[in-house]
Amino acid sequence: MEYVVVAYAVDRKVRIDGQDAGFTNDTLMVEKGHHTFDLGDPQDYQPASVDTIVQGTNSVAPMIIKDFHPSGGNV
Amino acid sequence: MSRRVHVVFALSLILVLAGCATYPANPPLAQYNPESGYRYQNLKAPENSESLFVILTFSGGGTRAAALSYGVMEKLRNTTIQWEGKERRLLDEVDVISSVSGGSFTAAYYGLFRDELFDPGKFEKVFLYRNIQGELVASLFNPVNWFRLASPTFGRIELAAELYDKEIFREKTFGDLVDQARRPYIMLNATDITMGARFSFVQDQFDLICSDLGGVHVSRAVAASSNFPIAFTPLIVNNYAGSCDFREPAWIGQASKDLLVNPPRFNSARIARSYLNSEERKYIHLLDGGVSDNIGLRGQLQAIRSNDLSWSLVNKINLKEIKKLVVVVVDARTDPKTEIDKSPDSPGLGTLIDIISSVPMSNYSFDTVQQLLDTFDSWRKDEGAYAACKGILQDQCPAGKMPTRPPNMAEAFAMYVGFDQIKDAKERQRFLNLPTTFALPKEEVDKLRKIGPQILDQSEGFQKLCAELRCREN
Repeated sequence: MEYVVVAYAVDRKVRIDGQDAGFTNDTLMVEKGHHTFDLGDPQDYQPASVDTIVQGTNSVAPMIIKDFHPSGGNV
Repeated sequence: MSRRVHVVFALSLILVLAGCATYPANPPLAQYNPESGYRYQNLKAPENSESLFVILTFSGGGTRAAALSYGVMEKLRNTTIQWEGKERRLLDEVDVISSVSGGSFTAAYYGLFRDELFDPGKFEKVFLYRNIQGELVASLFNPVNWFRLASPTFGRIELAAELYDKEIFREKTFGDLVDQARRPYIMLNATDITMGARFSFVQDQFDLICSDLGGVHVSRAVAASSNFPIAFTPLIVNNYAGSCDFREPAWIGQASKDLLVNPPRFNSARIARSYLNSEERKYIHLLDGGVSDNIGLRGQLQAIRSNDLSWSLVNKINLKEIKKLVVVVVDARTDPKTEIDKSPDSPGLGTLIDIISSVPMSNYSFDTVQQLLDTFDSWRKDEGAYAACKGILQDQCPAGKMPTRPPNMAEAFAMYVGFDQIKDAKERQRFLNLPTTFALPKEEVDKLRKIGPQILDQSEGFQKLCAELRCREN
């Protein structure tokens, strides 16, 4: 099992490959491989999604996705 | 002349009858809609919490498997638990039943008729104590069926499906299961012989072939799931892919890049995409689910380890919906004595078919159970690693803070109910030598019904779970 944290200014749902799969800033269990991450609706953030390969992580050193930030602002 | 006319007439009649006989085609799906149909997320469960998630898997093995799983169901019905301040039967907490072959009879009957499963004179009478095998053989000697079987699109499996439909499942369809909209989610598994892959009778699978599972009789799923190779002919499912505006789930495209990163995930995508080519794969041929997984656990493993399925349990754990995850594997595997190693003579064709169709899959089942245990172990280790790291940090640097939150985990319980766990050697050997048939003597069925609960009771996982849930036997 791989581990990913999707960092964001506030806690909200995270979608993996189009399905609800957890919350931002939580350490999420993710199957190894290529995935698309997004934050679902409302689409008040950028970028719309992040594609990445998840591998080589563990529960203490998860992959941290820091790309998302609110539209029109910086994190 | 008159005799010749009679012969011609008779032959014509045969051809007409043979031509008329064909399998009942699964209906096309007018419009793809991921919100409707027989899917986990469409099943409500007012008395069944999501936080205690229970999966049962029932193996193949004819009536032996059906009776063993039936006994486990009786045990769960008789066990009352305390969960989140409420008292309920452990059976009412079952969320998914995944089955293969003989185990599919128990699973499907419970899905359709609920507690009627346990009524004397119901399932016992229509299946467990019945000589289904004899009736199937008798149907082959019915001259009317000779004509029907002459048709290339009406195989022996159709006679079995008709018998199950009329005598056991009362012509119910998956549409009836959709209307009930209640858990557990019943996953009846067959094998797509071209891909050598699991083919589950759920709408997620039927979306790929643009077919409406709601119009399919449950008996056909059970017949496909228990479609023993050679004895029966493959059961046919029509593929209408390309006709319902199906939108490929996002995971398939991503998994298609995973050949060297995660080969099993790549393979899942490859198999899913094979159905989208309805020109090449216009008709899907199904055999016994045991050909691809004889304990019905592989699909559940995928839900436990992958974010891809629409009802992914990993996602549910990440979403903090599941606190405890319980998997009970009911495996009626046998280890029949063979005489072939006592002689240099080549075994007969029947013996060889029997060995080829069962022994490799039994070995594969051990590997499948190991994968389940390894997955749960890895969760515990990962949770432990985080806690240990946090402990060291607090010890060395009390003001320090872990940079990330601990992963959400579910407490996992794995239980295996199989004859190998019977302590008494003589009794163990007796069960391990039971035949695979749809006709067992009543005494044998009764013994199987008793041994399942005993094995479950003795399992460490069940005892631990029961201590936490304050189980009470009724």
